[in-house]
Amino acid sequence: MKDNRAFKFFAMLVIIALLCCLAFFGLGPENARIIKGANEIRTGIDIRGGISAIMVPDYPEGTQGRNVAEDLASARSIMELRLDAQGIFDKSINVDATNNRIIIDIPWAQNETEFDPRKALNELGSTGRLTFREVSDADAMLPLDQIPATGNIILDGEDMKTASQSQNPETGYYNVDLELKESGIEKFAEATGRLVGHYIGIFIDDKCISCPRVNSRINTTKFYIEGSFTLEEAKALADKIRFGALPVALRPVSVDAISAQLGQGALDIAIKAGIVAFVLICLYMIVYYRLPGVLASLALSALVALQILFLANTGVSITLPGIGGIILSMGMGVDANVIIFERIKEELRSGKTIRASVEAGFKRAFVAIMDSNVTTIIVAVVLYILGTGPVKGFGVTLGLGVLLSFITAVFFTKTLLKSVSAFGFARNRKFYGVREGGAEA
Amino acid sequence: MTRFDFVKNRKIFFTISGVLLLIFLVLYLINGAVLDITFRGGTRMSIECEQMVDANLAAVRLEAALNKKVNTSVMETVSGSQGTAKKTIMLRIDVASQTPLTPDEEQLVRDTLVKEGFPVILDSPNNEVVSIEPSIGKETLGKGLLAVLISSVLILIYVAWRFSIMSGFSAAVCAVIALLHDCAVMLGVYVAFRLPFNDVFIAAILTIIGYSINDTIIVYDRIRENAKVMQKSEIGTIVNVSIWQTLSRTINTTLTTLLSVAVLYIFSAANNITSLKGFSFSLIIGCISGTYSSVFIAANLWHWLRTIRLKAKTASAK
Repeated sequence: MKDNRAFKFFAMLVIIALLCCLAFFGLGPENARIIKGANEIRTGIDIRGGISAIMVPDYPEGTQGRNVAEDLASARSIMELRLDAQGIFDKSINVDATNNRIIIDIPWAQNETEFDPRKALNELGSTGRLTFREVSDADAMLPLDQIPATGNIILDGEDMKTASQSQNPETGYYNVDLELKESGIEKFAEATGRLVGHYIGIFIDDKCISCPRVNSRINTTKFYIEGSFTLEEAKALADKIRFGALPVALRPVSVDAISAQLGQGALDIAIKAGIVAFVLICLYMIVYYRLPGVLASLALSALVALQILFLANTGVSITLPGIGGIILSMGMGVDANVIIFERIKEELRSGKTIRASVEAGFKRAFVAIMDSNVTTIIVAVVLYILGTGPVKGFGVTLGLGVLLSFITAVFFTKTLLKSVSAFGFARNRKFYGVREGGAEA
Repeated sequence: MTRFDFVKNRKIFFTISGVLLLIFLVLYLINGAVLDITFRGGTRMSIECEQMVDANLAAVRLEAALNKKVNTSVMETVSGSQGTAKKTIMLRIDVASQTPLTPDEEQLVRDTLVKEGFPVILDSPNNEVVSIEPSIGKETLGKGLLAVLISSVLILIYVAWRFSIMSGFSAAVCAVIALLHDCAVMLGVYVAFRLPFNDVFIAAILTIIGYSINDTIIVYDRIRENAKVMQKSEIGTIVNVSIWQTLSRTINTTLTTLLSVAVLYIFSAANNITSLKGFSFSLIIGCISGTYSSVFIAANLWHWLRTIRLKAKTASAK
């Protein structure tokens, strides 16, 4: 019996130590992490720096009968592709369906200095209406960006299916392969038949991006633009055609451009504050509650380690208020332990043995802890559902902190307290902050 | 040693809270509340400067150029990370208006500053621009208030259910009153110190709701337990004993929580990180108020209401 308890105690110590190591260093080789550590926690825009914007659809006046949710969803996927094409992968674009708008977070690229967020967003949100138009022979001789978008429209973005690039084995140059939807074949066949030897311009809004000459009538869905394209040029043109059209223009109504350096400084300070707060709390607990205080500090380390592991491995972005939430939940995590120890002290004072007091203390404290934690979790859930951005992140860390503190207090602290009595010294009432004799002072 | 009687002295506590809230109300009527740009709508530009600049002069020049009301302030913030951290001087320009500044107007601000000889660093990576339409700000504020309301209702239902022995509903109402008391105190402190309301404040007030109700429930839990054991005692005695029994827990928890929040405040104040500073400051206020309302207000209020109701009952029985 005694050995069993001692074993349990050391097993708990090992588990806590392992958790802390995992939280700090993670597990697995660098390119194939099994468990991510503290350094891999995603940080929000307010820490990393970047643009955070809210964009609303800007329908031309008199537009009717559009399915806004559908338009936004497709606008979102097109914007993602546009950003991917620019090499910006670590962004988040979310459709807020209740308010009909898009919330977009783009972190700064590394070493980015010259960047105009408004301009970037305006470009990102522009519809880029794709059209194929007739271009007069005289206009076709102008530089691309001066060709006027005045000719008859032959096709528009709705008729395009996809675009890609491929190498011409004879010349070594690249072609841009286009594919039409069935809806476009007839119109295109008619126009290309009429315009053999003349020019068709491909426009995004009123900007010409390509102006090929028609070589022959085209009456299939697939055709290509031939030219002395390099791979990059062909790909860029294909991307423009493919991602060209948003169903609706998006207008930024709120733009935050946040400096990365200020955020990083704030993060470092918040972490330092967290460490100092942790040490102070542990000292306070140990001074006030003695042996149980030491055990509670161990349980608290497990709480922090679990919280770090959860955040690192779920990819939740942590924001400045989120860090506040963690520090606060640390303070509150102590609460469960305090309630339990106060109860144990009371039981000890009433003359019970240590073992019976620990048992009774936990039992009685349980209901109080549960009721108080449930109410805090209610608030955290409401925050998560209603909040946006940082407030949402705060809801996550607060709720998680309370939940984990409940688990660590009723599992870690309890097991530690019960098993520590395997050791002779731990059966001395002095170590529980109660005077010898058990009577109330 | 006779212990302090929380129940008999309740009038003192009710008066303290009442007077405090009254002072805040008067201050609000005189001063009004300051809304941050994130709630009012408008544009905030932060531009790094090489040395200290005269914020008022900048405001005058910019107002002349933009033809709009401009508020400016100079902040020293920390920038850079580990080891290389240094103080940075930022000129903050707030233009509150129905529509955010257009890109042209933003450029005009930059051009004006350069033209007037302010030592601004236009290509500094520390520069920031925040523009918000008033509708977005109103929505954030509205959502915050909605969150307070929904949380309160849910907590009311939960407490009424769990504490049916304390005639559930009235206990729940008193718990929520204590909670709103804390919200009011936090709002009041913001008004009194003329601090601007922003979304960070909303986050803080919601945290305190979670925290304050926590404390109240621990006291209620004792009353619930003691009511079973001390059936022969008067309710007033039970309330008093319960508050005393939970007091050392309340003090310890408040101290540890205050400790962690105060550390956050000191660190962010020392380094002038506005968002964290505001956040931790409101948490400190809320923490103190939350503990106060849990110990002195909630259970006492419940007991007081109960006494009034009992009196009314006996009166109508006669």
